[in-house]
Amino acid sequence: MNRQDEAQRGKDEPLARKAQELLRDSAEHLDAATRSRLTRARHEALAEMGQGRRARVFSQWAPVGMVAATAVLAALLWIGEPVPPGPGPDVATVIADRDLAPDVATDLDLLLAEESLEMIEDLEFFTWLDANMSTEELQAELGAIG
Amino acid sequence: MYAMNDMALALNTGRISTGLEQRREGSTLDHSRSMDQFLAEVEKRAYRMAVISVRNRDDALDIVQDAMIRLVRKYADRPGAEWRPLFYRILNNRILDHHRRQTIRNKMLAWFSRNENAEEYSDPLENAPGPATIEPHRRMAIDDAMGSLEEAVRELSARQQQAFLLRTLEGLDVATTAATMGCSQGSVKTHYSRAVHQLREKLGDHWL
Repeated sequence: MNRQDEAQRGKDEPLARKAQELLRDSAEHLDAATRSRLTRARHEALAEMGQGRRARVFSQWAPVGMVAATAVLAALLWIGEPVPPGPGPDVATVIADRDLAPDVATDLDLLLAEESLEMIEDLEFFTWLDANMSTEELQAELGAIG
Repeated sequence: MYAMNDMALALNTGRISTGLEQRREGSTLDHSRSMDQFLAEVEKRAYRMAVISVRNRDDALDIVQDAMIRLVRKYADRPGAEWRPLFYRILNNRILDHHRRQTIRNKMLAWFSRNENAEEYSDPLENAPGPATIEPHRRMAIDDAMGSLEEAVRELSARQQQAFLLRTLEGLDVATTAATMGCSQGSVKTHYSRAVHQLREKLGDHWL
């Protein structure tokens, strides 16, 4: 350090010392409302401390949980739904057993049968047929077709 | 025999894990208490630093609170010795952000010609002084000197202000100030020296 620096420091020091005294004094003599707001701010910040810890624990274990959940889902999709050992009772039987109207059971059975899909495609035609022709006329028509 | 050993082992393991949990809880409490003490120690000076820079009490309080929250959220697990430079670095960044936002806001206001000089509401109770420990005339002299100093510090550049306040108000050494400001020790010395020189010119010898 040369003489010029020392002289500069000698000049600076009284100002720095007085500024420090004043600044620290002003910091120590804050009004009550400001002191209270600072205390509140500190408590709010400290409340984050616990939350932050919990969030960090969660963020540490979250990837593990996600991997486990994905593995379980993949296993379920891989295995698929178990196939029942034999053919179960058809819907009509079940509903008839429960004393429901046989017509409802038959309709449901028809709807659930594979063939009914074709019928659904021509539903408008069958509705028209039902409205405009009696059973006898229909039978006669079918007999004529062969 | 084995069953007895297993039971003893289980009991011991239980005792050890309970002991570890208690120690962990104790260390968390200690850590929280240390952070509380640290923040309580720096909060007033940090507020003074912020209020000198932003000239608004509410904004200064928001900035200090934000700095506290960020320190706790991001660096609470760091060693206590690192908290001070980290806290002041966050605080200074918040202050700079505030100035940037203010600049943009002022430009917008000027653009829309709506720059009204709204008088800031001032609650007399809030402005009531803290506990009086010195005579009123002495207090007045100190307040006058402080007012002049504040005005002069506000005219410094942002970096000079930071260097001067960190060194003078917070009492940080050159190395810690450099770490806080994110620059070299040489830059800190230059900023500080220029700041003091400028202050001496502004305040004059009669201020001392």
